Amino acid sequence: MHLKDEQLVEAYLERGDQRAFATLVERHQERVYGYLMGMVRDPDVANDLFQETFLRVIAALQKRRGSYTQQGRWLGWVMRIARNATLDYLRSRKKWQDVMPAADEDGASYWDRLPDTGALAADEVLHRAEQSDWLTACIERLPPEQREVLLLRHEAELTFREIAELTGCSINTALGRMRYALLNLRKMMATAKKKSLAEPATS
Amino acid sequence: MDKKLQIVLHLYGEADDRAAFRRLLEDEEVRAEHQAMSEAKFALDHARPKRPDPALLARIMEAAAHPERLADAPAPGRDRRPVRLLRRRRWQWVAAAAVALVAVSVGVGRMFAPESSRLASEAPPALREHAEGFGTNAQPQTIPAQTADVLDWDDADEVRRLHRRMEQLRARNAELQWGEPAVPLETLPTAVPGVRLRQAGSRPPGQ
Repeated sequence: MHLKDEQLVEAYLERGDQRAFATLVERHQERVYGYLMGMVRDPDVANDLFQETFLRVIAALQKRRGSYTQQGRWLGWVMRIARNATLDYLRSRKKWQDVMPAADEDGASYWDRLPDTGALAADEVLHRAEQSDWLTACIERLPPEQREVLLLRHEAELTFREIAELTGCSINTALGRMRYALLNLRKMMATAKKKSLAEPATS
Repeated sequence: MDKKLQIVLHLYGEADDRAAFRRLLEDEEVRAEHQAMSEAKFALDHARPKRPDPALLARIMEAAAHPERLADAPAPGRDRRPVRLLRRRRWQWVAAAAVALVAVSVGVGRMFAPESSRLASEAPPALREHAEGFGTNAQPQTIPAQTADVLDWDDADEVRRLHRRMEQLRARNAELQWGEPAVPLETLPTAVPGVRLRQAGSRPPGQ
């Protein structure tokens, strides 16, 4: 029988059902870890943040139940905790700067207004051995706010409304960031493809 | 909402109106952008999922079983280095093992040093002087007599075998004296009657 997240949370809180909590962690581990890994780009740090996230979740559930109202999705609440842990880390490393929503209401960033230098960027990422590594490298090259929306949508599978709520921007901004993220990725893919076709002729 | 933003909603299945979607695609620019975004989304959809270290799940479940233990730790600012610390500790064990290995190697090396010194003390006087002339740590007069046998703590077969071989050679060569004049190669006996040893560079008779 497939229990909903909220039912599993209730089983853990009310009856101390640890199996229910284990199911929750196993069910969402790839979503949470995928987001963390995409944000910090370091497996060790991502593992630390993953653990930190769930320790905060347990503490919040046990001691401050008010923070989880059981309204809305469990995953959205967990992702908020994961995001806070991630931003704490990135701010401590000065790798994150909060973006004011008014500054880029259409989702475009400073990076999108730069001249297209995709050829050089793709040239670097072309040398990645595996396709998966290559895609990860492309995602890493995205501006932080675009990368975050992309990861929240693809890895955490949040809706754009949830992403907007989580990141404190309008849904239009979230959609705009996603649009630019996809178009930038496509641009990198196209350039890389052109280069890979050209390479056998030159070698 | 902008057409190009609506397309994103449709691409991710967050808008249901199929008729509106078809109308959007009538715009050539929007259609081209939808195509480009679809290709990027396809690649993302087929990316390999990433999983955390499996050991973490056990630790999280342990915390879930005993949440009261978390109360002692400051929740928001908790040091988030435990996993890395664990790895560092693992490396510390490796480093300690390496140091222990080096120490054992040095110990074995020193065990052999007195043995060679003892052999040096049994060598002819001229050779002994030569060996002592190097100023090594070899001090034959300080080696106790019982070290002529294999050391008690070392029961390695290889050491025992080497020791036996040395004893055999010593017994076999007991009659030989150091400093005797060189024996001509040709005078030494061979296993084949009538055939004598000769120097490698010399030609056989008749050639």
